[in-house]
Amino acid sequence: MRSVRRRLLLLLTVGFGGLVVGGAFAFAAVARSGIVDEFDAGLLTRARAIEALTENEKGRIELDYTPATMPDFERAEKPDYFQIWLDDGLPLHRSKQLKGDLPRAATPSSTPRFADVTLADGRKGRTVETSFVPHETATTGKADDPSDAEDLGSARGRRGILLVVARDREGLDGRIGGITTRILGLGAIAALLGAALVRFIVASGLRPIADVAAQVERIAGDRAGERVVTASAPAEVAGVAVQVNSLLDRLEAALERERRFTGNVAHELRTPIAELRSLATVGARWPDDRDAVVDYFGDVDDVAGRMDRLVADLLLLARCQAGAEPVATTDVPLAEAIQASWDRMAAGAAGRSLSFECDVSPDLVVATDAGKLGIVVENLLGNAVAYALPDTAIRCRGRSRGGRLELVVENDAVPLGAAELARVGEPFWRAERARSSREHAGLGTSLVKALAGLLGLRVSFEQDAAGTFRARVEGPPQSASSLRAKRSAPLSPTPVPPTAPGDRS
Amino acid sequence: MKVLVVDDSERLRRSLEHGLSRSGFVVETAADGELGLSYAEHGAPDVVVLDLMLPKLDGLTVLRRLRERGSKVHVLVLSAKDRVAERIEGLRLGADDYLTKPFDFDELVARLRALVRRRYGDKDPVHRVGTLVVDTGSRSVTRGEVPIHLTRHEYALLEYLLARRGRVASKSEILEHLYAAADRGTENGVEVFVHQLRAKLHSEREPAVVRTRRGHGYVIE
Repeated sequence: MRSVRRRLLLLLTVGFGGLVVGGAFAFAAVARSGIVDEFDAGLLTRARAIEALTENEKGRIELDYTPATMPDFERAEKPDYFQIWLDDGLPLHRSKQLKGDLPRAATPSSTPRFADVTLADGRKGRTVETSFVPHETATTGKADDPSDAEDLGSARGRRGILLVVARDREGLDGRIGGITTRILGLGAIAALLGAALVRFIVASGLRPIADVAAQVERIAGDRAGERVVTASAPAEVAGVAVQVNSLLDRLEAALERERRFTGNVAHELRTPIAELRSLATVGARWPDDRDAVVDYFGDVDDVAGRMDRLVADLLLLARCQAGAEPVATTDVPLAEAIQASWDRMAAGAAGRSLSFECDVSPDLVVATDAGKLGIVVENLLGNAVAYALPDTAIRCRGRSRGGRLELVVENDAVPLGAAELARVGEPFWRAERARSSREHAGLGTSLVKALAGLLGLRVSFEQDAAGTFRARVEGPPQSASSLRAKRSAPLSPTPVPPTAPGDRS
Repeated sequence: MKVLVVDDSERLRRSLEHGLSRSGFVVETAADGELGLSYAEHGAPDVVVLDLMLPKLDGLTVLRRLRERGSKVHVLVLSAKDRVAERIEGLRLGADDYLTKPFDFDELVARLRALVRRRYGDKDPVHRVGTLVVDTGSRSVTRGEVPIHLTRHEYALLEYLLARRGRVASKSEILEHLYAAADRGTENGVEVFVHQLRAKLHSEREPAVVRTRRGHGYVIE
């Protein structure tokens, strides 16, 4: 798994380390250059001194040199060297300690040239090579003190001189090495401290994220009711924490619905199972009561049938919610579908003295799944029959409005609270708290919503202040072309007498 | 002993009425909370078997009103609600026992018998009157290892008088406990049952088990 912390640590450590090491090398190079420049300046000073001591006196080159003035060329151990040539390459002079020639360039240059060389005695050294014209000295009638000047020979006129001065560079290399070692050592220490600092900064910077992660982990464990604390979180993390909390809220609500659903399924099955067990136990214990036992077998069959319907409804609901229920679209005359549904429950409606008013054009045709639309309509009418106040009317209106299907089933009912109204359509919820109806499991409106969704329809439930409960089914805009109504104006209400028994929920 | 079953499931009421009657109880039934409350208050049941999700008046409200009105009747809640909080709520409101659906019929009967014993302050299911031994757990009656066969009504009368041992039971009280409201007997019928019971329990060497307190009723000393 990719880790932000690891990635930040790697990038920052590499970046910071690179900067420190690169800086150390650059600083070491600058320091080395400075030291070499300083060394070269000393070397050049010696060369200039020798130049100054070299004279052309009437065509003769003289070096006004005394060992005391330049002891570095005279010492026996690790001496400096110099050598002088005429510009045609004729050696004129070399320092006393020099054995052999110093290396020089093939062509003379007016600017000093420095080079690293290996001296004749095998030491590593550095040379500066200059060419100059020795200044002429005027004839004073008095010759220089022969003990002070060394006659280098005839220059045969005004001639250029080539001078190479060499020094042992052991001290220079030692200095450079020492400084480089110190700089790189300090760089390494800085890199280590930097790595620790980077680690601390990354840990400190990521702490809010780690805190949120730890809180989420605790919540995912055994504290599902807790939420991520957002008050103390920095702005960058607070947004994530708020979203996590929102997600947890939705998750908890979904889990609560799931728990309620499972509990309701269990509850709906407990009573029929209790009936079955009681009927079976009592019937088996006293089989001599033959009439009772025969009745019990009939009861068992009824209970099994009810459980079968419950399971079938649950499976249908699950398939609809999963989108796994196939839809076979045909042209469905809406008024005929409503009438067929009403016919199956009209006896129940008659028992409660309920009348039915249907306001749907017989020409209104909907392209949809006839069976599923039938279940939707039948459940809506069934609920109206179950919960309408006695001696009232159930009204059904259907029309095409702006190319959209609009179907309304309404009835007068006991007023529901807002919370109760919001739960209409929830599986197993029933307006009657006692759930006394053994024929209704409370899945009717859930099935209506699920099936309507499958058919691309939207279902809503509302109740006005007068107590009129209204179930509204509306078609989506894309189904407009599938709606065909020869007459757009609705028909006048047509009272339909109850004709046949039937109910489904 | 009289049991009132309040449940909206007609099938459950019917099978329980049958089974409990055959187990020696006098059974009355009610299909909703209002009717159940009325029967519990006026039908003198020893135990009420009460469902919670009832039409008209839910079971917890029935229970609360019974206790508010001072009823001491023992109540066994028989409900599909099985969550701990729901059981606690039922017991907190005054239920004496709680059994969840689905249930074992024999367990229900055993719990009802235990509640009946508690109602009459008697923890021992075995009663001894001289050499007569009555085991209310197994519903057996013996005298000196010899079983005595009693009819359902005779046994119910004996068990009721034993439960009230030492206290006189009037004929009207016996009537209330031996018959359901829909199956009301007569005081003459009670006399007949007492006569038949005495005949079956008679022993030459021991005094009569059931004695008459003239003008008051019957008692087992």
